[in-house]
Amino acid sequence: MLNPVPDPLFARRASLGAGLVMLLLLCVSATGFNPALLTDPATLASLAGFTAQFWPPALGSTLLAEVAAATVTTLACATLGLALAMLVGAPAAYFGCRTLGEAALSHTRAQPLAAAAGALLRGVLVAMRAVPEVVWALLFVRAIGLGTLPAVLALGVAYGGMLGKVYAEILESQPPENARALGAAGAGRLARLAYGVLPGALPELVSYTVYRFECAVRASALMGLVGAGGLGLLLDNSLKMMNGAETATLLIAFLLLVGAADATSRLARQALATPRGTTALALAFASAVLASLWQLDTLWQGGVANADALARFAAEFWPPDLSASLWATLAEALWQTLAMSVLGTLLAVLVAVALALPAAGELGVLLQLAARALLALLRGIPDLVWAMLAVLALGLGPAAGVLALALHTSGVLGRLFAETLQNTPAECRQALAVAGAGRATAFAYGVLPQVLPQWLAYTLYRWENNIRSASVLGIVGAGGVGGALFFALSLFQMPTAATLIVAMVMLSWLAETASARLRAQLG
Amino acid sequence: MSLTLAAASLTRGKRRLLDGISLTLAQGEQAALIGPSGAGKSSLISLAATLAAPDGGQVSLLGEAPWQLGARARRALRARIACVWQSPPLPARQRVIHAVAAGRLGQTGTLAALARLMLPRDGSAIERTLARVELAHKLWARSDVLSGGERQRVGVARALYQAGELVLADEPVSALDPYLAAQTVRVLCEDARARGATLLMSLHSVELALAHFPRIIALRDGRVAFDLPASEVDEARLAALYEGDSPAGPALSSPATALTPARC
Repeated sequence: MLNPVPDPLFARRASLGAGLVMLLLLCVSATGFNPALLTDPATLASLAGFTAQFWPPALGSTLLAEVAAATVTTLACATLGLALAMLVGAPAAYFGCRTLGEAALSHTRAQPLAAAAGALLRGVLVAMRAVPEVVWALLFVRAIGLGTLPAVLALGVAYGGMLGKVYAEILESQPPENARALGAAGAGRLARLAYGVLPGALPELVSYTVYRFECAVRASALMGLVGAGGLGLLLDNSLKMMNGAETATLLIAFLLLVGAADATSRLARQALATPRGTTALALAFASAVLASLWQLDTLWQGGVANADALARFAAEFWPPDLSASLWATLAEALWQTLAMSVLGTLLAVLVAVALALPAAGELGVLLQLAARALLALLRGIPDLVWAMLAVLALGLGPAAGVLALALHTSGVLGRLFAETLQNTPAECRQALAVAGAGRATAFAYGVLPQVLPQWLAYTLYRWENNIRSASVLGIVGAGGVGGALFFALSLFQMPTAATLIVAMVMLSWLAETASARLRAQLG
Repeated sequence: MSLTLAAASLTRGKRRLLDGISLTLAQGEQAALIGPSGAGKSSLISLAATLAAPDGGQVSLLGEAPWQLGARARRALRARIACVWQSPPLPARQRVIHAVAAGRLGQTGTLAALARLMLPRDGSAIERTLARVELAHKLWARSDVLSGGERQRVGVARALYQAGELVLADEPVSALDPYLAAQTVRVLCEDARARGATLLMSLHSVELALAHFPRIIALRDGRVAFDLPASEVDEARLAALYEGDSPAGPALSSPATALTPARC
């Protein structure tokens, strides 16, 4: 019997579903992603041959010494990069923070000059953080040559932009009365900061910096893929030589390093709770910076003195290439990037849901442990590394990018989805169970409506992130606008590179805006 | 017998919630459960709803011992028992039509139930059920935009739609104004009588219990204080039952002689 009462949402849902299917088909055709390729016997054989070498991992003493040295380099780069970012971000926040200014003090309009300077500062910070750190590294490698200095500079610039913005936001989130009262008593800007704002804001400032350190370690380990030293350089070499045993060793080292960074960050946040711990943390960071300087000193060989070369290099980017011939390439590269991010995210959602159910303990303890381990592996290996492996399996091109994004994202989303499931109160499903509902139906009627909006919001956030990822995967040959950029930089076509970078930044800005709109509609 | 408790006990941690409860409800019988807060009314309902297993004594529902059945048979038994909960377990964002349809999940196949989420079915029957609690206009509304009283009535509608042979209700009208409360209790009583189903309802309000139920079971400190026809419940018994409960408690303010005769 057909339902005589028409569902008022039916038309909207049907068109939404049809639109989604259309989008999926478009993305599949744009990226040439064909899951059947993965079952191609020739591909499978070469992949099996490669992964068969993974066990046992290479443990020769020369390699281990090399890995240890590269790990130290990676850590040193991350530490110095973060220190540089703090040197950039802290003053930027101090001058950019609106609640510290004279205007906020007396509730008057800012001086036109001060307002213009503030806007300029914010614009520079936006540009610094909008270009992904790997792209910065690529640019610095081209400007001053291979080595660890480009990695430090790249982290300093990209994270400096982020810290400048977030530090200012944290300062602005403090209650303004304290600073205003001090200002009314004649205190200067620095005194207002030190006595009125900093005491309340410090824990959050430090905690965010610690989180950024964790990210810096992960990013620094990848800088080698574009020739900027550290673990990534070794990984790049062993992958290019199809040396499975070495690759396995490096992947393990990478996972251990990321795990250690995670643990350090958690420890540091605990230390923040006591004044003694805070002092210890500050001392530890200062000595880490000094040790890193000493460690990398010999490797730099006067690179810093080469500021002239840097300026000349930057000048080559102006004016950007706006010729008609570039537009077609650009449009195709951007569309490919977009398609990669959408398809990768959608595939990841399917895998994430399938893994989140066991990971949340729905199907027993044994499957829970297995699912969690798999999720940790999927998200522990960054998308750039997945992309290098995917290129081996699927060949160069956007299809490898889709696979890489799908693998990494399913690890991230799977964990978030599982957490949502575990945080959902059990009453609804329990009531359905005592009314005789089966497991699947009790889940669909009692749990799913509660978790679905959260899952959707996470998916959109991750898609924003994946647009940014998709635009750099091309650096290792996995399609998208990153590939065109890598190509242009290799041929020293700086004006073309400038246009591509601007387009890349605009695409991710558009995606952010669209996703924010969609999320607001979910409400 | 529809519902039999034989010396049933329930312990949570160190607290003895129910202490050797014995009572029997015949097929088609209707009884109200009263008593001060913490007396064990909700515990007794959860025992009868198979939400909890007794840690002493026996529970028998619709002629079956639920905790001696296999999982599949217990599921089939549960599908025949409808419950109304004090705070209705409605997931946020779920639409009312699905929240009511969920009452029959024990009687529908899994695939059909999942398909219904996409293409709602049986809309007119659900609308008629909602009309009985004066909520027909909320058929397509989302649960999280309903008021507390509306949510509670959706919970009642779900139990009506399930049409169980044993109907259990745990303070089903606590969020309703006096008019709607009386109306809703009447709907549940009439529905049970029309179908010959057994009804056990815990109520905070003694007036409602005496007005609608022929049999009153009173609990205090996890034991049965008295189990009498409504006509034999007098002021002295109620005073003893609620003694020491908060002064603003539900003890009768009007003399027992002024009680309306049982109508159920």
